[in-house]
Amino acid sequence: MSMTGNSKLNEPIVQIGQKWSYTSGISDTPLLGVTIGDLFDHTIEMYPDHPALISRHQNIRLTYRELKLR
Amino acid sequence: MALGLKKGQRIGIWSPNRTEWCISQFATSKIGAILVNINPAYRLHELEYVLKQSGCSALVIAPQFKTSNYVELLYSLAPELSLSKEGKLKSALLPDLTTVICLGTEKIHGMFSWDEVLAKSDLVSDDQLLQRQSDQEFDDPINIQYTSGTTGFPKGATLSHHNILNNGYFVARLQNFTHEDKLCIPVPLYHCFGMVMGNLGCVTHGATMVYPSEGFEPLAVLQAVQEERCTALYGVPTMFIGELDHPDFGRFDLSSLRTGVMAGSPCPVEVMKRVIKLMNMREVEICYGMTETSPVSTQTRLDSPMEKRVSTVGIIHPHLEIKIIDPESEKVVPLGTPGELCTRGYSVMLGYWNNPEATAEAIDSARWMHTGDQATLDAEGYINIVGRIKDMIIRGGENIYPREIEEFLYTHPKISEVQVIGVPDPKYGEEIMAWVKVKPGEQVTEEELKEYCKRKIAHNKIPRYLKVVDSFPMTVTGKIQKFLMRQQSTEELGLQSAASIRTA
Repeated sequence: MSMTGNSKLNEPIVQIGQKWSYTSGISDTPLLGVTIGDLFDHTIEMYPDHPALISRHQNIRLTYRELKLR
Repeated sequence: MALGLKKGQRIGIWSPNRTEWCISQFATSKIGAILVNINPAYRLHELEYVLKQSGCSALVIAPQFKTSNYVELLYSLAPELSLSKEGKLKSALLPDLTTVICLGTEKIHGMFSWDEVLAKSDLVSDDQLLQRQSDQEFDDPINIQYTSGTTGFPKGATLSHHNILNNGYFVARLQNFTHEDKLCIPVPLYHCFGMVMGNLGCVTHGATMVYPSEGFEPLAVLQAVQEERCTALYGVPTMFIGELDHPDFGRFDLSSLRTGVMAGSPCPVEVMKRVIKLMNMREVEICYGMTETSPVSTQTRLDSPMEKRVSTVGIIHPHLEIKIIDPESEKVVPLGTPGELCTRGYSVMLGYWNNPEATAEAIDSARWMHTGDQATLDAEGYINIVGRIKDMIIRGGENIYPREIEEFLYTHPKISEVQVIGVPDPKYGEEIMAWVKVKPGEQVTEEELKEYCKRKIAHNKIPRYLKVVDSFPMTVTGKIQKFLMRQQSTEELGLQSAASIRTA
């Protein structure tokens, strides 16, 4: 899931010669058609030991695997 | 699940930024309960309203935050808690609420402690959880956020998995996030900026979420960035100003920073320039949007010209559409002409919770969300927010956009923050007033300000009144409540009679 940005996302959006205030966003990346839970599981599978959350005032540090266990 | 919470039931969360907020967010997403974000700054009246309006059956609370003792406040709304077994509350005022969970280990009568709830998760098997997860569809509602309510009663913007997951994903993607990024999140989690652009932005990329403090503290942010070597930092403009103006700012090493987002209220060009130069956030981007659109609709891009990166809210987000219309005729206006910004696409909310009238007012039959924001679109696709439709000052029949005067006043060396409003005037209908915060140790007079404006901006845009303040009335997310400023100044300046002049 670690896709990086692509310059195609940044091409001018308003077509040449267009006079009206309308614009639509093109993309080379499709929308995600999954639930948040499914995406979350996918990330944990990809990066189980990667730090997920650091809460400094609580002195808590959790990896993605630990975040899931909570 | 072990508490008997079912798909579609509402679970409120009333807590500042803490680990448990994040865990509750992903846990409710998995079991299909709808998380109701409750503003930590809410008091009794507002809490009662949102709990009732959303019909929450469970509520997660922090014991206290700043001057609010949440346990006491809740006890005063539902005194039956003192006689109830945990999870079996029957309250006269809050008939839907059965279960209260208090963060921490301490046991409070009538409530589960967070630790007890964690222990109960053993009662649910992995298979049961998976089954529950697969019962959900991505178009199901998963989150209700009450909009700040700068006017009237708060409305519960209801958002689906699809709405917020995709928005968080694209906001982070456009900052070139990878799992190696560490994002410092001082913005509140109860708002989209924290839970969608922050939490979901990170989780969709395997990046690290860093919470510096419960509520915003500039010093904690600077320490977090330095010690955790954060690569990205979010904030509303006021937060960045607080960090830049902190007396110890100079002693922090912010060299790990690369990117981040400034959003939430209009971003002053001068502040953007300082953030890029002094905080090393060379790739910082501006986002624009609203809760009802998950929230982001436009974002500046790395390869945009510098001028566009600091002076516009960027271009349309992937997969979305924007049109700008004349609010009277509802016709699309020519390029460059100010009008009401409307958004369409995957990010538009499902609707306001249990409020079809308000939903129908906001989203039209062609599925456009009417934002109430006034904007222009240029030939290259860049969008400028010029104000709120109702924020515009009409002075002597001429339309004046406060934003333009604010931008100009930000160039004054002594001014730290500025807000421009219209106050009633018997002659012109409205006169211009500037509220300013000066930089530490500075002073500024009305004459000085007028002199500074002369010849640089049109005479009809020069503020007639000046008020030096320490802060502006604002919601917790940094949305300035100009209507309160207007009320206060109208009284202080004795302009009530002008305010009561009726017009055709």
